[in-house]
Amino acid sequence: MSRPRRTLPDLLRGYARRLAALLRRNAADRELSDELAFHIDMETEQNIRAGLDPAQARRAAMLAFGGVDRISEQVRDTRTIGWLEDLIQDVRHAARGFRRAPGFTAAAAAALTLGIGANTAVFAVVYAVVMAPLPYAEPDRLVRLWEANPALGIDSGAVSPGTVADLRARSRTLQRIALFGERDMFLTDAGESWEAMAAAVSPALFDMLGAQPVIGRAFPREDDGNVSDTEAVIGHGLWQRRFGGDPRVLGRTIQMESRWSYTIVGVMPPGFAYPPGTEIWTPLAYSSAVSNEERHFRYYNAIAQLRPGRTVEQAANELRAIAGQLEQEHPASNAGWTVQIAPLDRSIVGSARLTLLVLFGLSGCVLLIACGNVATLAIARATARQHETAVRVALGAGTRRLLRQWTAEGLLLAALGGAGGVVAGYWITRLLLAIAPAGIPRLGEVVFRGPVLAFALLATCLTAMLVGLAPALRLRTTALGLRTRSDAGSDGSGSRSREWLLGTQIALTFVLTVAAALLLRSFDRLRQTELGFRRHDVLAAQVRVPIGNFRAASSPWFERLEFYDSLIAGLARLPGVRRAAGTTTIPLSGELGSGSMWRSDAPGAHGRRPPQSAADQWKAAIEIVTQDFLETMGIPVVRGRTFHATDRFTQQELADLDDPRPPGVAVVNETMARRYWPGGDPLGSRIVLFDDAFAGYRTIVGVVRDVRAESVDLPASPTVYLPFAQHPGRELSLVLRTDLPPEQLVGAVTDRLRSVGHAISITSVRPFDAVVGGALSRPRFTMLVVGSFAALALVIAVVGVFGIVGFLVARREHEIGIRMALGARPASVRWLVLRQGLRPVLLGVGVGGVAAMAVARAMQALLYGLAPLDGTSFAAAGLTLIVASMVAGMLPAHRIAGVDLLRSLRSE
Amino acid sequence: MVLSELDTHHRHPMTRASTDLLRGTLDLLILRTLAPGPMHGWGLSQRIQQQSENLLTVGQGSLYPALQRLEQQGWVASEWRPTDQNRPAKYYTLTTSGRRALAAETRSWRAYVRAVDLILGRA
Repeated sequence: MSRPRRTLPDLLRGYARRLAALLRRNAADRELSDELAFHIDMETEQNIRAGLDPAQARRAAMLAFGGVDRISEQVRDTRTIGWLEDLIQDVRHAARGFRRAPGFTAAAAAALTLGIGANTAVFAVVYAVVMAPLPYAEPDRLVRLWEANPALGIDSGAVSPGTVADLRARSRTLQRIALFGERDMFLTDAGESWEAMAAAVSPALFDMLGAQPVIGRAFPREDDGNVSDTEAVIGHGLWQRRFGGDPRVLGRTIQMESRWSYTIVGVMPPGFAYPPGTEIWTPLAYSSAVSNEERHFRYYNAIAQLRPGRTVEQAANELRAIAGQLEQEHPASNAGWTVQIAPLDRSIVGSARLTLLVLFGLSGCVLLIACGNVATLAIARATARQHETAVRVALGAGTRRLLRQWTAEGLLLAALGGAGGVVAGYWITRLLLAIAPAGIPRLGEVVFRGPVLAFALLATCLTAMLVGLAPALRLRTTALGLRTRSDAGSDGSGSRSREWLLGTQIALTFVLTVAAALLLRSFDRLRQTELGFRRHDVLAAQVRVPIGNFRAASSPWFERLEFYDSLIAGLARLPGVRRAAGTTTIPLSGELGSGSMWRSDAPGAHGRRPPQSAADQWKAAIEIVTQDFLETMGIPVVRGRTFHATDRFTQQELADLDDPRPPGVAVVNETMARRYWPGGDPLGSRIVLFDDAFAGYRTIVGVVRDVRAESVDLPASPTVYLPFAQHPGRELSLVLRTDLPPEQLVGAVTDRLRSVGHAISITSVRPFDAVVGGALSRPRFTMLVVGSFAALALVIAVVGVFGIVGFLVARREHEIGIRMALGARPASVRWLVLRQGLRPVLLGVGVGGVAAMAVARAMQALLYGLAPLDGTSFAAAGLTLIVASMVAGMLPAHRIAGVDLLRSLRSE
Repeated sequence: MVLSELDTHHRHPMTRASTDLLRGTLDLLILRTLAPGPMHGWGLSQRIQQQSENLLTVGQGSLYPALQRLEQQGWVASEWRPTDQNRPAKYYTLTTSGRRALAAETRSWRAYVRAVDLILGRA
């Protein structure tokens, strides 16, 4: 602190000088010297007229004038006096005051720095993710579109091409609708393979988003009727990374999934990636003649553009009405289905929005607490300086002038906090981004400039007001009362406003502490949630082996089946591996594929024809797994059996995919059994899967325990397990049950996968505990951030309690001395003071409790397995706060024992 | 009546207490002298000296800062114009608010003088 003490006012003064010099040097200075020269000339001429010779006349004029430089300096001084000079004076005065109280200054500046820094950082993230307009043309007109079926629990599902065709024809509120489907693709160019997010999109998508290729072209519009499905447009990043930004990339052919060839026709501008993360786009052609099958099959995502002037609400109402018509017209495919829309930005941000807004609100609490704390400290100083103030007022110092000086203190503190806050904010932002969980969109757009800095400035101004106002109000009463005796002990108003401020801080701290306690307990519940399988000692490997690897004329499917069989057998033979299996989706690592299905004996169903009633068409997650998967993951069988080696189609059966297809088997989970066979037994039932290319129907041979495969906080959905040997239609990821700690096997497994001799890409090989950790990263992030806020608030508030009790002790020192001289025991006197200091704490906990209930309700969606008004959390938070406050109050209260009667009376 | 301390107050800190009063007086004199029409700084100092029958000498060290101050307050405006001998000089003009200020200052000056006179007369 020693260096800035001297340099800060000097710096400010120097800066003001330079600023003034800049303003005056050129024009005003030259003007002034001209003016003075003119004066001397006139004087000289007068002297000449009076009879002096020119040289004498001039000398006399100069003498009479009395020094051009000195007068210039005086004029300059006059010029700089004004608000700037006053401000510098006030700031110097304030700085001098701070220098006398370095502890106060350091504590206050630190609190404000952290408060402003935390707010700025959270705002930087909130701004980029939630507030900044999407980087598309007219983002307000863009909406996402879904089909929803409340009876099936689907609130934002994919759309069918049939429904979209009808919406296009009938809607008056939507200008156009684009469809897209995205997936991770395996790309090959010049012998190199890599994975990239690819999207098949309606050609209109680019127009809708106002994005055009920087070189080449996009796809012709679909109504031109000649969409070529072998063309691709690539993203700017991919172009730079893979093709060195070479414009000759146009016309180049790349392979997808080692199978389909695409010709690159265009490159999108930098930063364009819709759907988020997409690096390569291919055209999605569709015919306007819609078959009935295309009404059943809901698999596309849809984005639409409102007509100018139409609102989302108008469109939503209209689309619901059209969906109603479609239910009447096509009951088999559309009964029970409606259409939902939401603004595009909301749908991109999704559930991250609530998390971020809660964090933003809570970071605001931290700043308010810091402001309250500094204001309390400032009032303490004001009270201590009451005598000085009163004397100055009596000597004629204007109230306005004093007021301005007080405000200057707040301003200076806020400026210190603001400057520190911007620096701290920058680092906290980087910290937030470093620990941010996957799945929060637009984090790449977080930048620390423009609106973020404006926000920091705003927060600083607000802080200055809050911090400067309290002592200024305090001063008013002093000035009016014109107190000259230093009888602070009899002054109630100061301590009352301090109590109010402390109470408010405690209330806000309580809100933060409750939020942190709720999130902590919720996270603990999540971590201990029974997942339904044995999560430890499992290694998970996500790999891609595109179908293009398998070109056997007879059946690529059989070839793929044999490939995975030998791959898994090879992995199972590795030392330390007990079992190995494959699955389409590693639990908790991503979205489960889902599909529709029905009982083969449902009314109207025949062969592969779906039943008439939409209610008989079931939605369920479909997992395709190898024979050993359920055992490997430790998923217990409840009824029936798991898969056998005999649940396997022959090469012949897999080659001939025409009807009639052979019957297969399936296993369902308990939720599926309960939902679709209520009170009955699914074993032996036959189900038909809508897009099952391999089996005619599948007989249910077993029921297994529910597992949380989608998300730790969601109960299992109805799930059907199919044996890969009867459905080799998808790629598999791998899970291994290990005897050794799984992390020790990562290297060996990776090596093994690399040696398979096919085009393979390894996305990740990691212990399953890490997969679970990844699935919990969002709640962990929220908990960590809110926990840090609460800890910070707690420290600030406790310092506040420490301060107020210390102040009370100091103020009542000689009263205490007398009490003790009259025989009061130290303990009882201590309690007397402590009780007074803790009164605002209890008040704050009470008021904060009410506020915390409201906040807890608002963040209900972030909680798992807890009622928002969780008694334990509230009690724990309250207890922490009260105990911490008591300890903080005890320290200064202990000084009472050392109060020396004689000394305290002598000070009278 | 010697008002040379108009010029010298900064060299003699002891006279500082009277500065504000005198500075206000100088402002009043400048405003009054500018009332008939625009004038440059030298002309102002000459005119004040003449009109006070050489009793008041306004030092440049007070005059130019005072003009600067009055201009900042918006009571006078300045402009470069040629003199009769066609030399460029900085002319000061009374503004509307300057006129109002002149009226107000004159009134309070008169009241002040009257009050002091009454007391002196009684003594």
